[in-house]
Amino acid sequence: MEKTCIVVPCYNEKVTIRKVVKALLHHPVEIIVIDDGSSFDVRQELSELPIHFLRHKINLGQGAALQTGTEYALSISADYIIHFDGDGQHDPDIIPDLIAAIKKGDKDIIMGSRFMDKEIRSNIPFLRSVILKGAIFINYIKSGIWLTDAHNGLRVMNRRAGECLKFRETRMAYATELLEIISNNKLRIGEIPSKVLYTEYSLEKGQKNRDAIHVLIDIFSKTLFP
Amino acid sequence: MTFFQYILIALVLGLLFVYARYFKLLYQRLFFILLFCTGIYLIIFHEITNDLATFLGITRGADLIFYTFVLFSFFIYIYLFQRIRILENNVVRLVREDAIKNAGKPDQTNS
Repeated sequence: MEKTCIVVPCYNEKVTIRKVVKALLHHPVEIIVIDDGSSFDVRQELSELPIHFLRHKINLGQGAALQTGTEYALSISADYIIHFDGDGQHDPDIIPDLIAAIKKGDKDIIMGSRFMDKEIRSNIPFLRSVILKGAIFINYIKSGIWLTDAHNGLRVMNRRAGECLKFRETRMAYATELLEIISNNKLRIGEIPSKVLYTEYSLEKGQKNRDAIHVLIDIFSKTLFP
Repeated sequence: MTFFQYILIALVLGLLFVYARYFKLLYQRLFFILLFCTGIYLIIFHEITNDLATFLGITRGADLIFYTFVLFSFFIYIYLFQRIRILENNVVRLVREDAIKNAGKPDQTNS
C-alpha cells in the first residue's frame, strides 16, 4: 500500500487550522502539521487528532516549514507528498485528484494552478493576478519553466521529487527556488487546476501583495550572492 | 590645519581608543596602528591623495577616497551577507532537527 502524506505548514492559523486538518482527515492520507513558531498553542488546538505534529521553536518561514515537513514525510516512508496551505485557501476535495494525477507516473511533481480554469481564474483579485503574472515571468527567467501560475502552495510530488527538495530559501521565495530545483534535477512537471478561496481572512492573513517585494529582494540577493 | 581636520583627527583617535581593546595580538595592533596613523597622515597632508589619485588615473583625491570607501563597503556588505546566510542556515538546521526529533501526535509531543 502506497503512503501519501500531506504537509500542512501553519503559522498563526488559529481560525482555520483545525477545520483544514479535519477536512483533510476524510482522505486516506497521513497528515503532517508543521507549526512554524505560532504564538498560540497549535498542539492544543489539534490535540486529539490522529496526525503527525512538528513544531519549529521559532518562526522560520513557509519554505523552511515545507522542507521540514517533506524531510519528515520521507523519514516515515511517504511515497507521495502533498503540500497544502493551512490558511483554508485550498479545497480539500482536490486531494483525490492530486493523488490520482501523480499515481499515473508520468510526472514527478504536479503544481496547483489558479489560471487553468476560467471560472477559478475569475475569482482572483485583479492586482493579485497582475503580480502573479509577473512572478510567472520571473520564475521563467530563473528556471526556464513556464507555468500558468506562481506561488501556489498546492502541489503533489513523488518520493524522487521530495528527495530533490533542498530549499535554501526559508521564506516565500522558496516557490521560485522550487522551479530551479525541478529544472536542475530534470523532474517531470505538470499542472492541475486548483480552486483558491479568497476569503477576508485568507487575504488578511495570507501572502499579501506587498510581500512580492520581499520575495523579489530574496531572489535578487540570492542571484547576486549565491 | 582647519577646524574640520581637528575634528576628523579626534574621531580617528576616538575610534582607536574604542577599538584598541579588541586588538589582542601584536600583528593586529601593528596593522591597526599603521592604518590609523595613515588615516591621520592623510587628514593632515590631504594633498598627497591628489598625487596618489593622479597616479592611479583618478583626477581628485576626494574621488579616490570615495571610490575606496565604496569598494570597502561592498566588501563588508558581501562578508556580512555571507555570515548572516551561514548563521541563518545553522539556525534553520537546529530548529528543524529539534522539530523532527520531537515529532509525534499532538498530545504526545513535548516541544
